[in-house]
Amino acid sequence: MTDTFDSAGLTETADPADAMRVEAYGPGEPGGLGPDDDKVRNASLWSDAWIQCRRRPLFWVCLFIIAVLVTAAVFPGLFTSKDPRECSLRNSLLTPSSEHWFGTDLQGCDYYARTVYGARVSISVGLLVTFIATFVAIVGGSIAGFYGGISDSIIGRITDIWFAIPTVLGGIVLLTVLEDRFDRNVITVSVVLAVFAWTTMLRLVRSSVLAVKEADFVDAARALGASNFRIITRHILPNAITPVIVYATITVGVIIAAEATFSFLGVGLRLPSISWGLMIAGADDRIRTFPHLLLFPGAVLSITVFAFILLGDVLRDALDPKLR
Amino acid sequence: MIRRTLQFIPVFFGATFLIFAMVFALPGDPIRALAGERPQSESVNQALRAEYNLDDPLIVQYGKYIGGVLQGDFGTDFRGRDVNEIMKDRIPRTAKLALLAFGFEIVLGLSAGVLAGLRQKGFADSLVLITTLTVISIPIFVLGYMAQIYLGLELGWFPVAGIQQGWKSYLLPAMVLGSVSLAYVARLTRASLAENLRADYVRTATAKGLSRRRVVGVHTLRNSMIPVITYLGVDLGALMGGAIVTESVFNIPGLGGLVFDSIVRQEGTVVVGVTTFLVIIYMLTNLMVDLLYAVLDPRIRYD
Repeated sequence: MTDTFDSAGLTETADPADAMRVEAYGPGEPGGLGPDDDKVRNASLWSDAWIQCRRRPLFWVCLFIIAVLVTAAVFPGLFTSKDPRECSLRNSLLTPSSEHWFGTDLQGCDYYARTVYGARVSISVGLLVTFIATFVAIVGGSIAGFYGGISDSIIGRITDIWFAIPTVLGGIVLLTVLEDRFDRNVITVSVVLAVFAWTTMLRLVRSSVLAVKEADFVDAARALGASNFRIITRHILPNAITPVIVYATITVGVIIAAEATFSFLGVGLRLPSISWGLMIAGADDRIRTFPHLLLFPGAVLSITVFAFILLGDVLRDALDPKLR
Repeated sequence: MIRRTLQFIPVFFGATFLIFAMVFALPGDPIRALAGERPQSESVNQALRAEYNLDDPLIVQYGKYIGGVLQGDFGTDFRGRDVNEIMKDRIPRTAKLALLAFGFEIVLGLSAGVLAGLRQKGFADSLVLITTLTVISIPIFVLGYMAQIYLGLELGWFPVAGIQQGWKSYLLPAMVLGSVSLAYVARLTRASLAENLRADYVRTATAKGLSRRRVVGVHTLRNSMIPVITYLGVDLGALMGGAIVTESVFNIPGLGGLVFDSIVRQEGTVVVGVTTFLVIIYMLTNLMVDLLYAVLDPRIRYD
């Protein structure tokens, strides 16, 4: 390895690949170079990555946060027994107390319950948008990268065009335009966000496919008579997918922030939907006197985004052998 | 280089057409909206429709419009006001905000990145990594409000909102606007520097007996700047477009506010004008960066 700063003592093996595996296993653990050398040699990129991740506390912290959020999104009732829509004006703008952990908002709704129920929108928009964008990126990117030539030029130019429109600006215009014809719900907001989210990912897939396309195993598959479709789905994509997975994980976080931003600006979800962005927008004029209105949803939102971005970072460190 | 510039042309027309098509699908009939409650004779309606080319197919409308834009004329809105005039006051405000944010981003982002990159795994490195990740995770409107409360109201260091106090009013919004990009620049610089410091040519330079200052300052930094400059170029345009959120938090009457008001009032011409203007800025900065590449890295050639 060319790494001159890193724990030089561990990397004195002749073969850099072996050095990497020693590092991956850690010095003390069984399974390093030794008697069961064969097992080590079979280690794939993914099991290597798993071994790397498993040792990092940050990985578990992110997973834990995400697990809690997903649970809250699916079963909000597990975290609160209060109904977020049951509000009484008598309780308007209470500060946090044992009765209302996060206080109450202007309408007298329990702020903690609303924060819990807000997870559903964020998580579903984040996952849905990432799913659509990744799908488009993988299909478009593999076609452009694999076939090249004219299809590459066409897909490339279309991507350039969409890439040239700033997301916030385009999103505001598109959401306003669609308002007349479609309800503002999780689906429409997700589709609009997805429309602007796929470009970078498509470029990533394309370059990744281009790099793998020349590999010998692709020639081998072709010599065996595999169809193009089979070559792409079975041989190229599994080997080209890692950067996409890392990027997609980060995208979930970025999209959750974007949804909150649109709802905050008034072009995303509307009341009576419960969304963290809407809660913060509702806090607008009262932030100074009632900072809890901003701090709780703001903090939960930030932690959510943080968990996904950090998980992406951890995965990248584990999956990119160059960084080891 | 010429080929790269030529590629820019279809992208320019494609992107501006998309915006044009999106906006003119805006609900409502602008001519009827103009008349308000008062019934308007059909002949007046027709005359107005003809004046604004509303009966032409979309692509012809677009052609007439973009022809004007290429000569620096963003058209007239439905009340007969010149869109250039409407934008004239707003552009400097948004530009000031974006450029100031860009300045913060370059100065602080690069220094933090270099500091962290040179001392990897040290204290400064961890500090920069954690701070930047936190800043990236906090959505900009939350960050804006927090800065407004704590730095503006509680500590009283900065004006809270509006633009009454000249350039001082732009400081806090610019810091907020630039914060996310600043974090990205720092991380990118750090990663790029760290990767380059391991490159063979650095070892060669060190082996030749060059001082560390020279190795880092002349050889490594220059090569490490390539991805950072790409990001910066894309970002300058994005800052102008992304200023909408910051402008609304800090009440700055810039282009973002104009887009919002115009959408509400269904003034499609203004929305298209502003959006097209911002997209042009965005694309031009991208193009400039692409061309700068060749200067920075002789290995890249466009031919």
